[in-house]
Amino acid sequence: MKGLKRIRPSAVAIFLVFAVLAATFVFPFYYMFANAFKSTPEYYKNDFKLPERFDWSNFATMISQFRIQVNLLNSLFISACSVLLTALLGIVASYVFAKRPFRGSEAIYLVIVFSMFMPNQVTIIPLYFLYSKLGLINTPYAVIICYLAASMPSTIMLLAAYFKGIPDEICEAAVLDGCGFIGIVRNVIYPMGKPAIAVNATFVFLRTWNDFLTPLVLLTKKESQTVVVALSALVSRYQSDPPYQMAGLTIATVPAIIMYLFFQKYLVEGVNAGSIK
Amino acid sequence: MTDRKRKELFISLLGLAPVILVFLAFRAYPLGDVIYKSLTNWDGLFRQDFIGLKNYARIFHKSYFWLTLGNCFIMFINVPIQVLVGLVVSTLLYEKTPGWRFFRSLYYLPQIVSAVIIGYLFAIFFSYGGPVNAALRSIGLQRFAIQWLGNRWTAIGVVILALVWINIGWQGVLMLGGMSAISPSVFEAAKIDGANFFQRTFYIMLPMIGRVIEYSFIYSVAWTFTGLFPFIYSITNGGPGYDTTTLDFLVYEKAFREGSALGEACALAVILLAIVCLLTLVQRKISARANDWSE
Repeated sequence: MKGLKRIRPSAVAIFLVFAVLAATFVFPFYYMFANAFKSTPEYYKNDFKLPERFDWSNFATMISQFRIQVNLLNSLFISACSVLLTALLGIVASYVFAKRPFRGSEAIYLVIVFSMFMPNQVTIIPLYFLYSKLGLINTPYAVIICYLAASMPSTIMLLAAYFKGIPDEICEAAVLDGCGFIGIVRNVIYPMGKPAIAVNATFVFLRTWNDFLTPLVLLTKKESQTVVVALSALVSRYQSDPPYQMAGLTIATVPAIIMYLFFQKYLVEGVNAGSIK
Repeated sequence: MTDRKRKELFISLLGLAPVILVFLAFRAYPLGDVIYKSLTNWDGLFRQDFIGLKNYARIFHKSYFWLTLGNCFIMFINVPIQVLVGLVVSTLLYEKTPGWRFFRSLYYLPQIVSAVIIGYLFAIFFSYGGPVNAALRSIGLQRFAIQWLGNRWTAIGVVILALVWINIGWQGVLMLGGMSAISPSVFEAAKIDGANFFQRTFYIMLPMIGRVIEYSFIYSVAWTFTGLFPFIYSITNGGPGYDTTTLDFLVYEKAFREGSALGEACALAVILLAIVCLLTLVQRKISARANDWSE
């Protein structure tokens, strides 16, 4: 300890403002977690208090009857595939845009990046009918392909900008060492671009985990749905049983919060790199 | 040499090929298809005759379309509010009071939770027997404990509150990043010249993060037109009637809930796209002019 710093009154005022604002952010989540562990009578007696004892039975019913674990696995599979495929295609394409520009590559880059502004509502109707022709409705692949296409613009924007900062000399040295296209991607671009690749992977994971419209339209059977979509059916079915609703909301929220605790640093960087939300 | 160059070009194209294919098949094709089908009387099954602009004419004659469009523009109120709150929060965070990192993380939390889940939380909070009304009753304001989601204006108010609340953290992180990019020596020079906190904020900070504010505005306006679907779905379901329906929700409603007049649904989607493009262009023009003036 270096001894107490002088505390400014303005700092105290700011701290208080923050604390009040923080309460509005903590309370909804507190309410959700606390009530997930209550029985319905206890909830109606007092929904603001902590539960008298932590009763896991809502979660147990969720697994035994609603089989939410199937939907959790679906979400995990879809998000993981989306992250990996986006990274794979994105890294290779961004390397070309950043380090091997040719006549017309700038135009291709612009067209792809500008398609970012195209809302999913525009493409979802034709895609639904395309997928039903291909027999892909109610399969995770339909959703994964949508995510791959929708994630490409922001991925390429972020990665190409970052790869441009990798010195040309290193790529040239790798060529002299006998590296081909794949060798450079694997030995130079991937290791040196890791920070940006990690930022992008974090965002793609969270965005796909939380997305609603695409899986809602493309996955109509309960067994094939993602956790967020299955949950929306659950919440409307159990209107009269709030603790059960809260347990469902908790199950869908916790994985995202865990991701957040581990990858927070990347999220702050990503927001400041722009183009990502 | 030219042979080698041609080979290199071929490899580059091969690297781009998967992305281009995915883009053509799952972005460009659906875009073309939706525009084409908006000109037909497509019903999702066999009927698909070219009928010109009839779908558009029909939509422009429907009162719910104008109500929905109006709702979208009312929802815009969330943009200046969230930018303003975000600015205040980031200006205060910039002072680096103890615990600022913790607060920044906490405010960002709603961003990483699914919008539908946030929406359901708001729906539960503002339901008739929910915590908000319970709190109002307990402090003797029974009169204000109403059906929040049963009335157009209070329901829109709840949605706007949710939109602001969820985005405070994003705005805060974004703008704090912009502020941190300003060299501290600028502020120190101003301090030496005797500028107080407010002068530093209004004459140095705000002009210097103009680009960031502009980006945040453009993004949030486009988002208000395209990103509201999960909130409307979970908080009000578009109701009562079409009273809180937004354009992006209407596309879903027409295409996948009613599902018969798909040509019309496609036309709605095209209108949505046109509005988003137009707004983005207009904003770019305005902000380009604003930057000219400031220089």
